[in-house]
Amino acid sequence: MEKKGTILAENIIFIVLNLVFIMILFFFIFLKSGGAAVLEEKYAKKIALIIDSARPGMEIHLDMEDAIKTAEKEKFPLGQIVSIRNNILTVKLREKGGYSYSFFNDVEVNVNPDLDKREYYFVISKKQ
Amino acid sequence: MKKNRRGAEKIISVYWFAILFIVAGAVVAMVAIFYGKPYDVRELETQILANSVANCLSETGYLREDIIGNSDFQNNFLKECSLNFNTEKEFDNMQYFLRVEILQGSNKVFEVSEGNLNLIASCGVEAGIEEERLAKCSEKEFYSLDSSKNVYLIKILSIVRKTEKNVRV
Repeated sequence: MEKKGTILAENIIFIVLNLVFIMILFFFIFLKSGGAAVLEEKYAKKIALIIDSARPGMEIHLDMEDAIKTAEKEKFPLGQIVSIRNNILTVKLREKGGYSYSFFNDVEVNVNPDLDKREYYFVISKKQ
Repeated sequence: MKKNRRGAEKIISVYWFAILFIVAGAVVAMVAIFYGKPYDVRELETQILANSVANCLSETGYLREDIIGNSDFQNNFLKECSLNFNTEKEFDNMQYFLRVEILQGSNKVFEVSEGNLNLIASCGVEAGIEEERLAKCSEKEFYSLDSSKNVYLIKILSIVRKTEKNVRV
């Protein structure tokens, strides 16, 4: 009787350890794929390409739910996530971070956050 | 006999964990490699650049009238087409190159080159191990008409380098 009980406990420990192991693995993948650095690069390049293909007079709305969520977690001001200086765009989701990428379209870009809709919108106009 | 079986089970579970660690290590390595590699958007950038220039030169299939024989347009090509080739401070050299040729039959009636001419060496290189580190090129050709219905062939070559931002160096 005693022996059977030991075998069961061993099996349970074995299964639990396996599950813990797999959970840690998935947590690592989740952490890596949704990391602030990855999102910063993804959005910086995405927005730069959008601006490159835009024409004066356009207004582009971009859903940034996951980036805003990350910035909230990092306690970074949500209105300062996207900034543009000359033709260099920077996406910043944490205090010690940020990713910059340049765009070649020589237009004026007005960056506006719409935090209720969890998005940013960009107004493209001709450079004065 | 029973004792031996228990011993064998323990050995199997040790092997099982060893396999689990190997699999986990491989997954971690793959994820780290995948997400550690920057997104390469240069090919898209070259295509967008070529399209922007095409839109600048030709509107609804008709060639802009102030292009041919206009040296002002040629000299201020980037400004005329609303292009800015400045990049991040980390790049020492210009990261773009653009060449536009307009041909009427076999005569070249317009030609302009802007940016870093050295990048042209990256185009046409056979695919190889180092290919990723070279600049990306895109060629575009299309026909356009002027107001007198003369046909022009427009050739655009656009090149983007920005290797450090798009490839793990």
